[in-house]
Amino acid sequence: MREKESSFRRRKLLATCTLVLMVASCSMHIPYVNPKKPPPERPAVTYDEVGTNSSDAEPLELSVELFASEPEPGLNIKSEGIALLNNPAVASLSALANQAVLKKDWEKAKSALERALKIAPEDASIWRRLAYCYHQTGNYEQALAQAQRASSLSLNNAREQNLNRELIRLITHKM
Amino acid sequence: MNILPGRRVLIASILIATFVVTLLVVLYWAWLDRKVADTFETSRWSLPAKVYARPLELYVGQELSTSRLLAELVQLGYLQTNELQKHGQYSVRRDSIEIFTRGFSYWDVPEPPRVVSVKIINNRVALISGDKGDKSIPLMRLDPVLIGKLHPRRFEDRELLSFDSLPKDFVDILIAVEDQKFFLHKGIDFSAIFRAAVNNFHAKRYMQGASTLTQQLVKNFYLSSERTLKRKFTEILMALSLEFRHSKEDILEVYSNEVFLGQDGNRAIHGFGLASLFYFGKPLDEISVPEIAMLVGMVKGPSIYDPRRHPRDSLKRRNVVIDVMTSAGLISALQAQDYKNQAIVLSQVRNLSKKKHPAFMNLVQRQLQRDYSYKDLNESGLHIFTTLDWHLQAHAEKVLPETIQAIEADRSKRDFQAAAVVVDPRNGEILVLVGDRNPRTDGFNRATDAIRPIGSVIKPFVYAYALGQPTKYSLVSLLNDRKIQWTDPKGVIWSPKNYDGKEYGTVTILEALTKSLNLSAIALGFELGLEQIRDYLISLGVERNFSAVPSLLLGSVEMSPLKLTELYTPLANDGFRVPLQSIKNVTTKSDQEITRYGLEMQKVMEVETANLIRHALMRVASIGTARSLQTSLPNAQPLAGKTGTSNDNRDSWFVGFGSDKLGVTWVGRDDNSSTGLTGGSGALPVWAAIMEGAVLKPVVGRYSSKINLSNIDLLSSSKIPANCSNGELVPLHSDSWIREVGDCDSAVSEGVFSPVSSSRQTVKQSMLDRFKNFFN
Repeated sequence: MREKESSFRRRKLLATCTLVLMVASCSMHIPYVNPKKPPPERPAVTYDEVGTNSSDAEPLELSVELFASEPEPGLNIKSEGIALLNNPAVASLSALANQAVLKKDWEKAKSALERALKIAPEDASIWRRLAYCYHQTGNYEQALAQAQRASSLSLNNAREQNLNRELIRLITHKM
Repeated sequence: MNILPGRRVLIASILIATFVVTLLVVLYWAWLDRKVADTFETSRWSLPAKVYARPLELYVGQELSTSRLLAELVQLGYLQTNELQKHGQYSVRRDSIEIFTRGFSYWDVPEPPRVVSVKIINNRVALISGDKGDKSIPLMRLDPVLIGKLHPRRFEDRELLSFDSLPKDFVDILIAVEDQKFFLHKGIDFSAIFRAAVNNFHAKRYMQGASTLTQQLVKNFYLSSERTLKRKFTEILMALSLEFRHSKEDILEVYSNEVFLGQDGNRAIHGFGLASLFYFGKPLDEISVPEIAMLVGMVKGPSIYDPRRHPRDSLKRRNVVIDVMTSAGLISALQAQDYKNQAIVLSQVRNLSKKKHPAFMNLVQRQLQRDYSYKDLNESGLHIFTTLDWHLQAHAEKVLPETIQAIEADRSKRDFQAAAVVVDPRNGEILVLVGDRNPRTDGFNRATDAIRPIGSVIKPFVYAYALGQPTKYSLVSLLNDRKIQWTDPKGVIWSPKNYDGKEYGTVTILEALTKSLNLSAIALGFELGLEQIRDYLISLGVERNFSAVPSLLLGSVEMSPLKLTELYTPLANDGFRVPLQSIKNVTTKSDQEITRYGLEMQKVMEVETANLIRHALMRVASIGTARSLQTSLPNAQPLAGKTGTSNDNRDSWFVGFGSDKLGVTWVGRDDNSSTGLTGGSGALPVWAAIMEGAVLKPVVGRYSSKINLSNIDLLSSSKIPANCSNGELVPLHSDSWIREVGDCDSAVSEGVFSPVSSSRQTVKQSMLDRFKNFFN
């Protein structure tokens, strides 16, 4: 229950840097960084480091998207389980979570997302992003549970379902 | 021995004596100076941990009544004014409430003090706007309500203030009254000593002291209160040292935090910061000038000028202080008269040394003791942010005793006890906890520690085990509601009955759960296997040792109300069990986060199973044993719930939920004797009374995509055409088999008893085999 910073996090810091910058590109609240050109001084991310099967190239790209807070362009924003854009309070907490993720402050991100869930408890995308943070802190058991929760709240939303399926695959791989 | 001439002896003696005395004084002073240096600089007061209720979040679209917002402001000690002048004030406008917030250093985002205008339309926040061009504030928090402090048995309490946060009025008045030359002298004020000596000589007794603030501080800090010359001498030396080593600001700051200003039970009120909160319910920088004058006046004698115990003396003393202010030129005579005319309005909230919400505070303390040392908790001034909804808690503490009294009066009985728990099932946060019918009694906490048989509230889990096998069972599977008799290995005969003594023959699971039929539950339980059900309950988190005996099916398993609440979370939450929490964050006294207790959960049953049981429990609350909720809480429909009664009506239980709150209530007796109450007549009305004070949201009937709603004739357990009026919409798992009939009436006329699937027949067979051994 008790969550503290772990040394584990520091080890993954560099690897997740690139990942996080790419996350930023998915969000409307943080500056745009071209996901295809990570800063040269940062080591190239290997799949092992971001927690996927090294023989499988696909998950890296997906895991970036797994923290996406925005629906795809053209998607109906009133899709099932997404309250995000309809509520400015949730949007501001979402921005806070994004900032925290940029700083790899997973606890702060979780805290903001939990606060958002009190306002929009049925928003599957928040649960998914919470699962993502749990994954980043190495609590795979919780990550799985939260991803399952996200899944149970977006049964008719194909995009969320896909993202969750991918996230669950990543998590179970780590367990 | 050589004798010298007398005069030289005298001079030498005097010289030596002077030298020795001076040396001793210097050494003594050096020693005192060392003491001052060591202790003053490193002196850290031990501060009790502060425990806060959860803060009120404000955001556009939030369901919030004006009265609820005002209640929060009043509880926080905000002052209602027409024009907002400083923080801690609010004003009620025609279409909005304007608040000058105090701000608060929250662990994640600090909340700045600011002026906001909150517009509430139809019990919903329509707009929050700031004054400085921020057109709309999406989200904000008020400061949290302090619900208590963790402390040793006897303790000093204080609210630390820095020199910068001391209001100027306060500093001026304090100096005018206690030490007019404070900023000029070097620790002692010789002119004041002379004046006092003359006055005392004239009066021929000790009337007037001449202590500077520095001397007073030394006295409070290091010395006893005896009036001896030696102590006075020591005091002067130490005051000089203190002045030499520290700035006037530091000395004034420490003085303002140290001075004793009253007693609250076993709690000593120290410092003006706490005194202001204790007497006026507001921080020092929010109280008025006459109120400051009253506090400053109390320095002379905190107990004789206690405004609660001696209001007249206290008022007199305040007016003396106002006169001193006038003669010191701080205020005009006209202003003085105006101040004197102001009445003293004291805070009603007092006696914080007694626990406000003992059941909840004990739970918080229990959790903290697991994670923190005694010293951390009692002395280092931690901030504990809890999940308590103080407003709903206060409502529960009011209505629970009233309801229990009414039930007792109704039945001419007495000595009932009760407990209640309300949580948010989506995140496990404990909103309300009552452990005694007199909620202020700090004793046996029945919500956490009364372990009682849970009766029929176990049944949904027996059915959930069956419905978790959708190819074998559905809500419309038929059960055999017939009397059975069973002799255990010791030869004790067990012959359970339904509560009304009847047998219902062939009934569906849905109907059996709605009516809470015992015989059906037993039939199903034997069919499923007692060992399997026990294992299933353990997988859901039932901790205590219990054996797989038939009475398990009727709720012989014992639990506390709190544990039972947790057991029910998956039913309210799509199959996810959420551990209950009372604490969210712990921060240091300088607002650094130490621990965050995050949201956790565990999937313990399939979404579909939870959805099906939820439907059955909604039926219980609409036409079953809890149908009285329809009239007691008409605006929160639909709800879900289950009543429970243990053997001989010893325990009365109710568990119910909407989408945002899950509550458990228990009524029984401490000596475990019969109350004559069922779950519906005891615990249910208590539950309804508590929920009346909550914004309880109805259950959202969202189903998994694997579930279809079908029109079912329950008597024959068959699917009938959608337009038949004798049918009822029942959710069915897509893997479940259902007999379909082409017209509305043929199903009834056939009156068949047919198993849901062939696999079930084998189970039934094995059950019959088991029964052969059970029957005599």
